[in-house]
Amino acid sequence: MKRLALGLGAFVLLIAGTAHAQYGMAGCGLGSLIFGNDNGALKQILAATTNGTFASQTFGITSGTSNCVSAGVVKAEREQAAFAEVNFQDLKGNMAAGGGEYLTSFATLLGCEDSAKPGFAKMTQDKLEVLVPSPSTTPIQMLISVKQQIKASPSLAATCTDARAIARAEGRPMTLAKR
Amino acid sequence: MFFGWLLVCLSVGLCASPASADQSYLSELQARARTQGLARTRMWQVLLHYHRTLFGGWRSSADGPGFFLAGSAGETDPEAELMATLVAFSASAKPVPPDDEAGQHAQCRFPARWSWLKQELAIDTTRLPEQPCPLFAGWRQAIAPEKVGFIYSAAYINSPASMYGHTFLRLTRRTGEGNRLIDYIVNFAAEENTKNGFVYAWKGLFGGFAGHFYVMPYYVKIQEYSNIESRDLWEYELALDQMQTERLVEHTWETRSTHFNYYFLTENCSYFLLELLEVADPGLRLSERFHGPVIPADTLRAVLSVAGLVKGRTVRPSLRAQILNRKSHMTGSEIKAAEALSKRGREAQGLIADWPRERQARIIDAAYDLLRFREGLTKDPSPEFLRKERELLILRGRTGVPPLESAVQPASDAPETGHRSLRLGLAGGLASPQHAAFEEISLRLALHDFLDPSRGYLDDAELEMGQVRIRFQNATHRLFPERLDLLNILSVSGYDRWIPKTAWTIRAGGDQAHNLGCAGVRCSYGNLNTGGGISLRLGHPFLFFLLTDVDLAAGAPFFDHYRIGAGGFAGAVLRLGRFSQTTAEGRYIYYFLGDRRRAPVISVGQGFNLATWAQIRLVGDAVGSYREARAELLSYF
Repeated sequence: MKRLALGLGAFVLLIAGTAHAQYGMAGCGLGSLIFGNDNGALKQILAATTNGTFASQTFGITSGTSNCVSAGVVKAEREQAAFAEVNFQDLKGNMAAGGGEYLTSFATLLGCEDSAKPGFAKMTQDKLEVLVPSPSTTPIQMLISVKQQIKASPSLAATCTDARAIARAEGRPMTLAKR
Repeated sequence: MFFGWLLVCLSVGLCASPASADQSYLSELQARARTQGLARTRMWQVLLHYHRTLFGGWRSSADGPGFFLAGSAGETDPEAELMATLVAFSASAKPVPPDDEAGQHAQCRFPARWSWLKQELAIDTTRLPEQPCPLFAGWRQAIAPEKVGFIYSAAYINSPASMYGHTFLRLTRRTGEGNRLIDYIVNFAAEENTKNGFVYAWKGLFGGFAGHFYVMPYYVKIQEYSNIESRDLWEYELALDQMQTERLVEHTWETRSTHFNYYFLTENCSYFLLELLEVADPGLRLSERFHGPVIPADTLRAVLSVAGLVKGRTVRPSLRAQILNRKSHMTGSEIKAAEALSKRGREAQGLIADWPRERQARIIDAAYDLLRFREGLTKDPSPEFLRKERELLILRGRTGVPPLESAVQPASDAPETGHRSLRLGLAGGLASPQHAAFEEISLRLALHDFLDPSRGYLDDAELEMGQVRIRFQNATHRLFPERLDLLNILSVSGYDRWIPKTAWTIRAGGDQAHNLGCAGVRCSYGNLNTGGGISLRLGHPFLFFLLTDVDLAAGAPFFDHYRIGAGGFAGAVLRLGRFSQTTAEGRYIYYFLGDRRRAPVISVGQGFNLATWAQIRLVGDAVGSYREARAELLSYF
């Protein structure tokens, strides 16, 4: 059967002729990573099954490929930035709509308690013009603004905390009782 | 750096711990492992990826030497590898820089083997010290695996090769509900190192690429598949327990020391995922079910066929599906308004200013998605896009309307509802002249044509590879190949104003020139044709297409042994429920080089689905004055 497969393959080939204060503030440069794929026509026709590995330069097999990712896992202090970079458009869309899956996960990474998430989402909708002040706002600038807004709101400042974010990233229990 | 690390480890007493296990204890463990026959257990086999060879020996499918502690002997000798593993596990710890992964102690490089042997041999860690593994521990802690999901990425429109699908695993992270995006996934992929299509194909087919398991955040794959490539993601939750899940993650780490030669057709992404699942639960016998090409959808069926393994299914429709869903709920004037907003941004807001807020929000949501789909999914979106994007976001924010969610239909039924990939058939028929009777057998390796049961497949693409039909003519006792398809692709995604796609086709194979008055092998020729055009869909049942067609053919039946021509190709598909597919196609090629004899080609077909695995098909073909009708019984395996 393997020979058959190889034979078929040969035919196909033949015809193809053809730290806390600054927690999470540094960027990762991951935003454009997902567009690195190069799907030539020939490649598309022949086999789409190698599934590309454009992401593997960053989410690589070797450790220390970037200061952001280690063996495919995003370093704890960079998770917020990496998320914002890769999902920037979806995140902005969710903020404008006042909710959504991306915003919920972002809130988790920002250390928000589940009960705080609706309020957090509403804040992002209300303050959108502050969070995204210009068309060229970068994901990191937006992240910094979001954190400033959290601090500025007494209720959010108490329920979305870096301490919780760090505990979560380190795999410690997240239910820091805060009443 | 190095001295720093040395200091740290000295201060916590790690380096001062017993230099190595005592020799007598090691010998004792090795003897016990032999007596218990551990090297012959299924667990050891799956951990090392050993498979039986034709001659009764063993060979690992791992191809990188770093994976074997017994050196190259480990590749084929499970026992030698087990003994060497115990030696390596008892070796004294050498101080290494914290980020030197390859220099880590064997216990740290092979945590799944260590966990298992520790348990099986009841290893006394006062006599064989357990090593601290900060690199692995940090990695594992960040992944925080709880459950495992099997994910099938469906085909994407206009890329029929993707019809084979793709599979990967999601590791649910202990972060509570609603945070799937930040879970990690394990994806097996080839390390591509060429942009040359031919080299790519060659290497891919013959194992020239190194395959690895890659871990990355799920959101990376979602951006890639759901947004950029418009592929629906089907998620199947697996019933693996905590220990099995841990082992899966530990083993994924172990594979970082090796690679697996990647073969497109056999040892591919989906195949190695099965091997990984077998490590989690050695009781699963999945990889051994596949002896030929491994098609991702078939591996999903294999996983689903294990009783109790799959606990539930969810689907994440692509951005494209969401856009089409939004559009399907809109009126004509709403569609126009959304288009204007996506094209002009804030300038067009007058069109919706008088509408109720919620309606405005709905239109802006659609306009935003459309804008992204058309202009935003690129590496460097234009300043124009960024301006319009922000304007739409601000407009949406000002409505103050909460998120508007609606149920989105995926592009097809669940992949496992589709027919299997391999098709075998028997047929009988009559052909002109004189209604000569014939019989046929047919085989197709993959995958789907418009007459096949349509459920579970994208309804606008055909992809066939490796199809052959052998005919026996009763009157002449001739046996000959009637048709051969090396590759046949017809991609006719219906035209949509918002998501316009062109239709295209390519076919390479062999055929019979029945209309040229020849018979048997002498009538065989090979050809290559390709074309492009448009298609139109009217709901699910109707599909029409019109394409140009260029044909290059060579063979004995032609004057000068070749012909080259150009023409057109039109067709229609009608699907009625899950039971019936009807097709009609016509083709006319104007041959202007070589053999210039021309004839219209017409083909009609009717498929009746008896079950997912069986079909009766009636086909009528006419080429010039040649006529043929046949009935086929097809079965899918």
